[in-house]
Amino acid sequence: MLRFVRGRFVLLMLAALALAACSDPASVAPEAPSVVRLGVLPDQSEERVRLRYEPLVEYLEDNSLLTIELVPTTAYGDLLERFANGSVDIANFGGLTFAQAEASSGAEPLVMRDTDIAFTSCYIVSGDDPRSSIEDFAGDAFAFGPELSTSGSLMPDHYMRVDGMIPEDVFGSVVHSNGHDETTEWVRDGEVDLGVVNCAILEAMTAEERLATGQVRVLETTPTYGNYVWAVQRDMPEATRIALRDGFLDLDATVPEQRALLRSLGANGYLPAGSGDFDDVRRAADAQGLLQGVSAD
Amino acid sequence: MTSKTASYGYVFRYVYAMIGIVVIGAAGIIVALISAQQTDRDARDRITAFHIRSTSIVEQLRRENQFLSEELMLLEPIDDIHLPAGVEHLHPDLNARLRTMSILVDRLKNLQSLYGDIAFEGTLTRIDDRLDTIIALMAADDARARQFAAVSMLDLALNQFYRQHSIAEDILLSRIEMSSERQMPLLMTVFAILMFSGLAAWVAIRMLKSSIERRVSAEEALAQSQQRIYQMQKLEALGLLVGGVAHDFNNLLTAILGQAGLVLDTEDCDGDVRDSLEEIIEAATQASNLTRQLLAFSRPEAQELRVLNLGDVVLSMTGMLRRLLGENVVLQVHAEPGLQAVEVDPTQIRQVILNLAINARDAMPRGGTLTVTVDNLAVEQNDRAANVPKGDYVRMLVADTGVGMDEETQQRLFEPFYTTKAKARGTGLGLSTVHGIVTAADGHILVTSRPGMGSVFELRLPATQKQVESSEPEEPSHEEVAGTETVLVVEDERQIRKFISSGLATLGYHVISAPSAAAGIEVCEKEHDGIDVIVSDVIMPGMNGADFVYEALKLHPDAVALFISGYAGDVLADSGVEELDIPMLQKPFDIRTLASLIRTELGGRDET
Repeated sequence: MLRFVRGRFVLLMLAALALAACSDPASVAPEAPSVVRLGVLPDQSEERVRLRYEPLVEYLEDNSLLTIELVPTTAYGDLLERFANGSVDIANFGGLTFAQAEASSGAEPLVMRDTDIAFTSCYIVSGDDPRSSIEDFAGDAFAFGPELSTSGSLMPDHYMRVDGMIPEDVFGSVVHSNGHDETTEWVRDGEVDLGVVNCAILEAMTAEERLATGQVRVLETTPTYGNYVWAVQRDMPEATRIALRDGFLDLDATVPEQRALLRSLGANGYLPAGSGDFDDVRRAADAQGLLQGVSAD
Repeated sequence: MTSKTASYGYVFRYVYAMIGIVVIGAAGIIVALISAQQTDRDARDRITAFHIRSTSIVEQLRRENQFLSEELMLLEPIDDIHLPAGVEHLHPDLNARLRTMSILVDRLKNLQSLYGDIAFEGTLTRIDDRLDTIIALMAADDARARQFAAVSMLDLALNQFYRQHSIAEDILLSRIEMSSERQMPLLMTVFAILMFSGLAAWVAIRMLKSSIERRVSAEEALAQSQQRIYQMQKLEALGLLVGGVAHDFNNLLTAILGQAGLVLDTEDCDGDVRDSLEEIIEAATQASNLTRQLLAFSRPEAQELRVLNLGDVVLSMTGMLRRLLGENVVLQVHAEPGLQAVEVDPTQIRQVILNLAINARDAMPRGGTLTVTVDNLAVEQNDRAANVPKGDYVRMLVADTGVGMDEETQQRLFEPFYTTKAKARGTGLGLSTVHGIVTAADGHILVTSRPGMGSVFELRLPATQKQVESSEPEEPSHEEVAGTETVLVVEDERQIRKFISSGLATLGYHVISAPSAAAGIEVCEKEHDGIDVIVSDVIMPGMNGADFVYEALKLHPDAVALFISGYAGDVLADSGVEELDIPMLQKPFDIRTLASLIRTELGGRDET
């Protein structure tokens, strides 16, 4: 009996020591990758994507002394999958896809555009529609953007529900477009009465004169939320991570060539991104069940 | 210490050792965890303080930068031709603002250098560079748009720093929080171990305490039992010794009393001779009483058992007890209604009560109270310590308020000739007699006493279901006991033989005496005319009384037989008299008692 008690005691002490040791697990830092693969969203054609991101790749290579390879993807799912299987080291995610990448493969935010910190979605109506609030469109046709779009669907839906408005109950019909451009055109052409789009894309359409002034007007905007972000693999070496981060943060609008790059990326500059920037997005995605089935390994 | 007790001690020593080690180990872990928690709290406080100081400086810088931007807007457009170059030509407000910002940037850099493990260098360098860019553009009176752009980029850099700082703080605090959260289950586990150990220790202590109490109790009971056995053995040995002496002495007294009585009954006995004889008889009677007490202690005396109510006996003695106790002692007698009957020798039980009362009186020289209580007592379980088996008893408590007794006196209380009284007052036989009588009646006597606190004697006599008998028979008259039958007296003691022969002859009987059993057999063989009564001693040299009577009755089957003996109990049981169903008369006796018994046995047979 004594031996039994003594044996149990030793086991107990060992277990306690093991638990104590677990309180600060050591992590082994992997070696720096020889090539950093940079994945981008397929929000435009591959040619335009390359045109847009090649200068960034060149700048980062010059600034960080890293070898960077641009990896265009064919769809949101494609980017997520590539990130999850490790064939992409740094990726430009939308808010929702970042939340999913974070949940599925532990993506960590690195930097985001100054405009992405306080991103908003715009509710737009026809230029000659006199109504002044969303509630006035009860029973009318309403259009979201693509279903997996953060600014065109996820966050507007989330904030409406927070305000007690269930879109399917409030509006006469609810449809999803294939893009912000299409949503804007539907509103302009009167196919729907109310639509919600990415404000930045709306401004771009106006600036590029794809949308005449006065054809649509902004009725309301959503509260701000974090949207696009450059995120890296959780096990990316610290030196690589800092080199990439400082490359983005060093972009200086007072330097002419960098000012052009920033303009092409739709930014005035880059800011460090934190996990807290995506609390609202994460909450919205979770509430809509978009994080289920994707979990960190 | 027994081997079982030793094994208990061995186990419990190790149980305590194990519990001690677990408790000490767990306490150590708890201390370490609490210390770690404190360290975490300190780190959290340090990080928060650091963040507050840094962001405070950044805020000041952003304000200065904002002011700078506003002041730039208020300045006149730059004249690229006329204004001289150099920062010293700047507007004084701008110059002061830039100097303040330089100082703040230096402070920020100094502050961050204290926390080298956080990678802020790049951002700090950027802030520094952009401030330098602003100063350079100002000094060179560069285009106002470029100055505004530089101011804007400095603001961006400050924003970068602020966010980087906040993110780093969140990460650090989150790590500390996770560390603390991981420690909590461990803390709870260790706490549970401590609680369990405490509970185990409590149970172990209870078990150990219970074990010790049981052991001590058993050892005390054993010691008491051994002491009682020793006392009983001592009393039994003394009883044998005293009984032997008393028996011989009793025979002598029987002869003295008998012969003196016969002489006294003669008509010639008168005057001084009669007075002297009466003195002799009185002295011998006292000696006889003393002998009776000795025999009662040694239990050789045959008991004349009767079923009676002990309460009635006590109550009937109240008057006598009051006279005995004197005026200074208050007597209180309580007898419970519905008392069960006891089967005792009434004479002996009266002697017990008297002896206890005398003892109590002597213990209360300055007066006091003697309380005699009689009640029923049911003993549910065998009381091994007091050697009292379970059953129904009638209890008599004799309690005095006297001087009490110390432990040593209580130990020797029942020894014959042990007395604490002055020589003239006590023989040391009173309580010995009580003990002998009570024990012979299958009763028990317990004593509770402390010096100065009085004494309580508790008698427990087995209760019987038999009916209480009526009062004792009266003394028979001379005529009732006289007879003419032929009586064979077989007694080895000459004096007794002579006393019986003379006494029975005086009452008209035809007496033939024999000094031994062998002589008695011869008489039986020769006496063809018939022997009506055979009176025989029991313990005799050669053939004993039982064997003799057995043989004699073969020769004279119509005769009745009587035994006379100074022994009783075990000695007589060994002699075989109990198997013959023949009455026994206890020595000493007077001749009328013997004659009365003869007449009873003859059963009113016609005298021949």
